[in-house]
Amino acid sequence: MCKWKAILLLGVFCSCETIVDLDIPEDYQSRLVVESLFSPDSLWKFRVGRSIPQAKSAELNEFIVSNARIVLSDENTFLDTLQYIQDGIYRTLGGHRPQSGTTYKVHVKAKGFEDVNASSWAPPLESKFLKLTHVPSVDSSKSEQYILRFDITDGSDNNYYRIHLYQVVPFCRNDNGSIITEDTPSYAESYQTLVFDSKSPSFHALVETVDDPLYPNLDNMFWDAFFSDQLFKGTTQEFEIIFEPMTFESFNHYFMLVISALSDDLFAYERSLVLHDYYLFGPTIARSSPEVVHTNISHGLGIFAGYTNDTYRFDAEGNQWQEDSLQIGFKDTPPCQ
Amino acid sequence: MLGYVKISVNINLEVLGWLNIGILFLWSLQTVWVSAQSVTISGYVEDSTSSERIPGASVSIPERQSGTITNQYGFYSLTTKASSIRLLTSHVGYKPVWNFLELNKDTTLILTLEPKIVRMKDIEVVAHEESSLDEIQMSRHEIPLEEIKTLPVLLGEIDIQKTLQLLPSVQSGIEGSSGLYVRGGRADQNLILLDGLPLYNPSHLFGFFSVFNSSAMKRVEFIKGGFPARYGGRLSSIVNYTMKEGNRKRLEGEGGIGLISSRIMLHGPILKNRTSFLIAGRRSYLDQLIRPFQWGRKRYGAAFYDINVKVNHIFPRGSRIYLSGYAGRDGFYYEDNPRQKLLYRTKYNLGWYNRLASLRWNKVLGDKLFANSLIGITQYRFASNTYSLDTPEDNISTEFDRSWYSEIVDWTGKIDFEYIPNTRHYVRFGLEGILHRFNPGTTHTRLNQSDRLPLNLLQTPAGALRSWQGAFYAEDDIQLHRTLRLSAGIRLGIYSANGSHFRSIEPRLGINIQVGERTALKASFAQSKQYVHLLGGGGLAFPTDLWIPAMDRIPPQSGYQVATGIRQTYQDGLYTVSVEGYLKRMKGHIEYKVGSNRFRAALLDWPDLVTIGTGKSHGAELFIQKRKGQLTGWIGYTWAQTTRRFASLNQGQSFPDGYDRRHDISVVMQYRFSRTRILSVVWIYGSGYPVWVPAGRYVGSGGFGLNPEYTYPNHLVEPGPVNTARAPNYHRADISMQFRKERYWGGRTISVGLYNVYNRKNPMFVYPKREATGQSIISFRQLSLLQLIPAISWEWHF
Repeated sequence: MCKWKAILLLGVFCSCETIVDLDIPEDYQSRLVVESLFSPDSLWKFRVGRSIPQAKSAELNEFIVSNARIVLSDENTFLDTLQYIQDGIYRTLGGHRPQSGTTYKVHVKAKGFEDVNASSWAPPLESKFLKLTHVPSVDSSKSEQYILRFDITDGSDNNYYRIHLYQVVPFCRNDNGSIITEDTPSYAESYQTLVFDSKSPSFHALVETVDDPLYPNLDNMFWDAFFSDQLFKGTTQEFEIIFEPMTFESFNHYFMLVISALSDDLFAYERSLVLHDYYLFGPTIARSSPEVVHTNISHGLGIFAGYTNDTYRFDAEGNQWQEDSLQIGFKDTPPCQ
Repeated sequence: MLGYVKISVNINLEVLGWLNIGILFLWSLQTVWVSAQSVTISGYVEDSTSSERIPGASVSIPERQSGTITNQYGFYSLTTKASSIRLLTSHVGYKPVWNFLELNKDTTLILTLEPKIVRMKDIEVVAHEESSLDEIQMSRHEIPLEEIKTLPVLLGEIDIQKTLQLLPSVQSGIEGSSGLYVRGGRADQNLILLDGLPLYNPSHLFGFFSVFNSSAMKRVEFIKGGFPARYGGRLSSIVNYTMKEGNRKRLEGEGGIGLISSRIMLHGPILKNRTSFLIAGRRSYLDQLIRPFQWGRKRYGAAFYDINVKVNHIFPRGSRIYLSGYAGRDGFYYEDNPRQKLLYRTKYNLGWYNRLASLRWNKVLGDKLFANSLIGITQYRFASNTYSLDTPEDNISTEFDRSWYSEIVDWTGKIDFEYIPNTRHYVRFGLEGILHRFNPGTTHTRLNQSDRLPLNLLQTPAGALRSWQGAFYAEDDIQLHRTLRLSAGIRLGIYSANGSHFRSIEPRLGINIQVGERTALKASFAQSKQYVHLLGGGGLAFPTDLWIPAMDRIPPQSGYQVATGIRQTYQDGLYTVSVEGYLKRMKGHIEYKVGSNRFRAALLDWPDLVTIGTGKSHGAELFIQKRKGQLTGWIGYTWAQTTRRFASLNQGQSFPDGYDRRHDISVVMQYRFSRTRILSVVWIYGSGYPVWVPAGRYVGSGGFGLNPEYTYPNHLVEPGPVNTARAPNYHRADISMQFRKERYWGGRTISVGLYNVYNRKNPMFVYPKREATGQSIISFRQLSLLQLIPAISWEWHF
């Protein structure tokens, strides 16, 4: 078929993808996989697993390591030994939380594997909620909008940030088990990601294009905005985002803006995950070698990296609200009527 | 133990260097004595129809078994005993000429050669590796341009560099590319010169075509080992392109129309026999061809062009001045709503250009000393631009403009001397200085919003990096005995960047021993240093790769190559067989560390992102060539092995280079049915390139900000040892037929051809693939891009 296409198109390239057999090295040594993305908002939690040869079939539980010993320290001071819960998850029983700006070290050992180490921190974050402006709908062709301004004061290192916007909406569960929004206040409320618009030249909709001078930075609609401090290094920068809220007949507008400062390792991990996904979905000319998922676990795999969130909950007037007042997370999602 | 070996090699190289200087000095003393008893005949060899000077022509006195070869500018000088002589002048494609001369004093003589009218029984050379058995330079090829034009080519685009890929130990990289990977070297290790100045990215359309317009070129010389001391600054090869000078007698022209581009070239006299010009241009029309198929408001396309210009003038006293220029550009664009019928408009451009200009001056000082001086500038820039304009009727208008570019600019000045005291010596010496200015990345962001102060931000985080290098070289080709020739040379270099200084002593040595009438044994040694690096994507020569200077944290690349070989002719030169072996060691390679964000490198911190390593290569080459008759051509075979070692890659262990190909075969045949019909067939075979494949897999979550309940398990792969698997073997056959017709006004040639005649699905890339996110098992696929592709072109000349 390809031959005829090529002839008909008089030399227009015709590509064909075929499966090939390659000799994969068989002497593979399994390694510990340690994963913990920590922030001051949560208690210490780790997932520990193992890697297996690429061609070997395995059930999910074969990837789990349940006999690991995880020792956490703060600089040079012992902090905690984490306890195994289930499904490869280990938690602190001492109720320890990470602190922003502190470097932590972890040492993990398990029988049959080489010991692994890692260190990381949750970078400090300084941000300020400035102003919310409501732009009402003037006619049916234009929806109402909000204009939100905030600023970030950048530190001296290379820093990475992420912006995410949520709206609190009512949920219910339909017959298929999926969750849909309903305009009935009696149901459970939870967060729904809200798309926003911004003209900021710093923002990137895709994490893999941050700092990419070749990327056609034409996006101005964002589910997430990722960015580096490249355009405002060491200074305070003001940002503006515009969004159209979802509107319900009997439920007010409640929003949540999350500004995150990501450690170098976390940003590199996020970026490499996306590129790794591209790598496993097909060829690109620019990718002649595997896209390696970033790891800072010496002698092992996975990621130990921190982040710090500044979370702003605000209503339609820009006033602060609390999660408790809406009972977010307190109720099970009821069936739809 | 390893350290000890390294030290001893360095000491030996320095000793060799000083030995070379001593040899040169002793032989120059002998020179003075010999020259006092002789007369010298000197001048130029020219084409009788165009007055173009002919480099590489042989001027000899057969009875005395003495002779010389014209230099790059067609100059010769031959010193012999004063008496009557029969002087033979010859060159490939020209009728040999005998001159009977009574020599009793130094004489200057312009020798002219008439182009040969090809007869069926006497068709010459398709590609001649070395002009004669006694040529001391080994690992050198010079392919006549007229022959290159008859070989089958991709999409009908004549490409000189792709013909070079058919020679032993030359790899193309990915299929269809015009890149050169020579004897285990990398793309940045080729010194590609156009009229004496380097070009940094000599490719169009991301490397699918080279920038050299065959109509404008007069000669291409390719050296892959035993580098003469006059060349420096690269480790792996020298590709020396010389543009035509321009017909000094009458206006001539040629042109061609192909599937994706057309070209035209004119050359002729400005002042008859004094001043001539050449102008050539080429433009692709891919963008125009796809335009009718673009509906809606979106536009996209790609195009390239190049222009070659040359003017030269001969002064009354014989000196000559050349002004050469080249400019080429590639562009890719995407536009949304270009005619701005809506309230917004976006545009994205990406492209690169090379520019080059040189001024050369030739002067013969006496009969034996030829001087050539050159000043010139080379510029390579890669750039992209994003522009958007949003003008809502009753809201804030926004104009966003962001440009990025990286650039390298070289200012070069050099002076070369060639001193030919007698037939036993050919001395060359000279000085060269290059001032580099690197700009690894500059970003210009402009944002205008109707309700804000405008943002205008120019960022050059790494700044403009300046460096300079200087070199002195001296070399002598010495006839020690009727059967023994020696070439000894040395290149002394100095380089400075950012307060770091490097010096180099680069000895060069070549030996030719003739055994009988038909056999020559050859050997060479060359040490080289390279002060620029291409920080790239693992071997593929992309325009986005960064050229960066050597400096304190990134040392220069250096290496040496030892080669030895035997060359034999059969049936009175009808067949030539040569076998060469080489051993090459390189250090100072740079490569991105695994997982580095290459885009950050463009902006700020590339020295932190690279790892420094070494390379080893060795191989054996067989080259069998039939030079005359209806059927001509060659067969080349290479066995080679190339490895790399980097501290931060593959756990510091050695691994096969990405273009390590164990077996490589090329068969090139041309059959001339008549003077007007030529059939060309090329068959290529190469064992599979290494592939870096995953060895393990594990599960993780989807990453930060995602709900682990939905994203776990996320199956991830762990790369194994670097380049342990092998892609399927590569082979294909190309065929073309030329139909020529001479007319009263000139002539025309129609070429038809097929690329990949038997439609082999060759691997362009090999990669793992899974069908959906989260799926655990992957399979390996190959992408075959260039399958059976027809080509047709029409060329004319007058």
